[in-house]
Amino acid sequence: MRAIVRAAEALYGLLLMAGLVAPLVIFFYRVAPWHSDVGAFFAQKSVHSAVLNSLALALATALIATTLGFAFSWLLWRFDWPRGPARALALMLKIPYLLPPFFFAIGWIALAAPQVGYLNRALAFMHLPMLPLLYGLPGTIFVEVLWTTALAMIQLQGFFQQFPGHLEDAAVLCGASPARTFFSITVPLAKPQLISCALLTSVSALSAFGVPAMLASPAHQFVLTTLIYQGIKSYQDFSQAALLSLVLLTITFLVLLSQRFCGRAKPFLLVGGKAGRPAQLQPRAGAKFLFAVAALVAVLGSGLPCLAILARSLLRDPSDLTSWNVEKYVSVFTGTTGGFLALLNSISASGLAALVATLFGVVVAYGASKLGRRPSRILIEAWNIGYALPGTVIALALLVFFAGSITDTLWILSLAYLVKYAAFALRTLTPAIGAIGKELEEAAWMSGASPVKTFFKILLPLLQPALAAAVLLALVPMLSELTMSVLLVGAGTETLGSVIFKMQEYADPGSAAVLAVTAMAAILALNAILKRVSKGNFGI
Amino acid sequence: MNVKIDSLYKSFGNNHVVDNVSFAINDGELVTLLGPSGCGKTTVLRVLAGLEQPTSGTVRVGEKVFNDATHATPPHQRGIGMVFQSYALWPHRTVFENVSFPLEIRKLAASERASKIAQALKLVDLGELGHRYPHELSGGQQQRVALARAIAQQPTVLLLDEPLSNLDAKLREQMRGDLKALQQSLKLTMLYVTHDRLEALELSHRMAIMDHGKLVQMGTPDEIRENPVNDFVRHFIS
Repeated sequence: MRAIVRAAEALYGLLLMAGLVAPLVIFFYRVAPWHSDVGAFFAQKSVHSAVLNSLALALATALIATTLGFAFSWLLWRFDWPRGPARALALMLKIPYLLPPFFFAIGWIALAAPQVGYLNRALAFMHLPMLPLLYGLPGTIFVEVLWTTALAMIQLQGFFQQFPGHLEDAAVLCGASPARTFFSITVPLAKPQLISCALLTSVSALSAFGVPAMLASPAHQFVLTTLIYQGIKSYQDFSQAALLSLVLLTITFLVLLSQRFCGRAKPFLLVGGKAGRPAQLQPRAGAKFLFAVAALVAVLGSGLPCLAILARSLLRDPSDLTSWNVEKYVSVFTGTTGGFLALLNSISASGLAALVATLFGVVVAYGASKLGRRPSRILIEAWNIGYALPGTVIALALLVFFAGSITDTLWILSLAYLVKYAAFALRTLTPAIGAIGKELEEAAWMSGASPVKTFFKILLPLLQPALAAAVLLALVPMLSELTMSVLLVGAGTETLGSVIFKMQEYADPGSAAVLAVTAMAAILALNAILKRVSKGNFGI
Repeated sequence: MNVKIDSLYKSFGNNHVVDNVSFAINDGELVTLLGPSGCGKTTVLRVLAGLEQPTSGTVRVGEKVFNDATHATPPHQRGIGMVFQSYALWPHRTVFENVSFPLEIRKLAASERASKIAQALKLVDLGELGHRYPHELSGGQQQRVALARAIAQQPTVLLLDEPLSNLDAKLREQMRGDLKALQQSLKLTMLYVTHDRLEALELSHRMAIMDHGKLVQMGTPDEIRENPVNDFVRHFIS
């Protein structure tokens, strides 16, 4: 078995070198700072404003989304709500995490575009003032917050589900009011999780591309990722892109570094061995009001945008709610729009990357968890770095490194997806393998099975739900990935994400909506399968 | 098959958990390794199974040398059966499939396999429960499945690592009787690890008492009861 693990480590290491390390080194060596006039570059007003906009987007999104995510998680998992409504609300609030953020930009454009958006038309019909202008940085922050709140809630869910309620009870018995208890006990206990969540959401917002490209760029407000994209698409300016990437990478690195620093603080919360469901609070007026606010955010965050995209996909004339046109679904996949080819390309590139991530992942995770191999542990950490890096930087590095070879093929897309999302498979498989008791393997050895036979006959069958989860969790974000795809696709290799983006931006928002609905249906179906296969352990 | 362990040492870093242990088990004999928690008895058992590598020393079963200075036979090639403290039943396999596994590995014909499984399940009184999964069984039944799985492969030596420690007092007493009867009917060579002196006194042909990694005394229950070599043995056995 050690030989198989060593071979997997070598191959996985090679893929990491070819997909991440070598491309980054070559990219920054060939096109980066020392080849350009750095001083003049940083003196440009557009660069200043892109840096400031990126920081503002990251900071505002992290602050608001972490606050909302914390409040809603506390509300949903610390209070004793009727099961049905609480589960429905939690699902609505977390669903955006499954879908790419730019889908929500498409949804909100359909809802709140000046004059023609469904909500603005409804407001005009009622002689009410129109919604504030969606295009620009505030609109971008608004949509990013709605998506990122789901990410924050997923980060905080486990904390609140295991919260030791007796610590709050003790404060109440000391005479503290519920509000005082929340601010003096609950919030300080959650401080490490809050800091970690704020940093994670800020990294996510820093590398955001789709939402700022759709909502801020039309108002001539650029963030680092969209400025890089504009430079590449308009002028093929790799030198400027490299400098901007370096800035983006530096900011991301500093945030990640502070996460490591903050992570050193020991969490206050220690889960004891005494089993049992944490005591839950009884909701009163304040909690009920917050529940209503959460329901409003759920409607704004996932309900309305998804309905708007569905309506846009079904109407010939968006301004005429009676102009049903189901044939569009047929024409998008059979006509010249390239919808079918994009779907096939996305499935092929994502499927290959998800399978490779899972197959290598399971062997490397075995090496780390069961054999305690250092190379396996290092590989797992290294693939995690891939996830933390901005997709724009990964795509540019791959473009430069593979120039003239596999660019304009599905291979480069698969490699990019693997670099960015292999961590999803590894994060699922490593704890799953670690959770299988050593004695189950030892019992097989004592029955005469070799380590290889034990791996295939005992471990793999036990890991089936985790394997399915690893494939699906890696597949879901890849299927409609946009940030890297827009830079890497060529003629004949368009993907769902890139085609939806281009249709929405330049030609045909109706067809974009059809493809977005198709992608949403596929992703939600995969999530449902995942929940079923894993008996509720994975999925939203 | 007789077992011989010579000058066995096992260290984890600076922690010497087994310190120059030597003893032998005769063919068809049941020996218990008795001692307090952390005295090294489970480590000796795991070294004999091949699940731990000794720092030095020799392990022989019959004519075969499993461990010496030059080589170590991997556990799956030793032909030794083992019952784990946690039973280690595979949750994705039924009782029948759990017991069948060692026979599948040995590539026995389906008919021969079925008859051996039926025989093993009958021996542990579980004939009717072959279709059930481990989580559908009580603790005592799970323990019997683990025993059936270990004896189905007709091991040269059967190792038992505190197999009754997870059962309640009444069931433990019943299982002690069943184990003794099983050993006598199959004439199996058995090494039984326990910290329960009653279990050791009732089951053993001979007992080996360990303390701080050393083998302190070995003999029949009567010999040890009547002539304990030191205060530790006297207190531990009384």
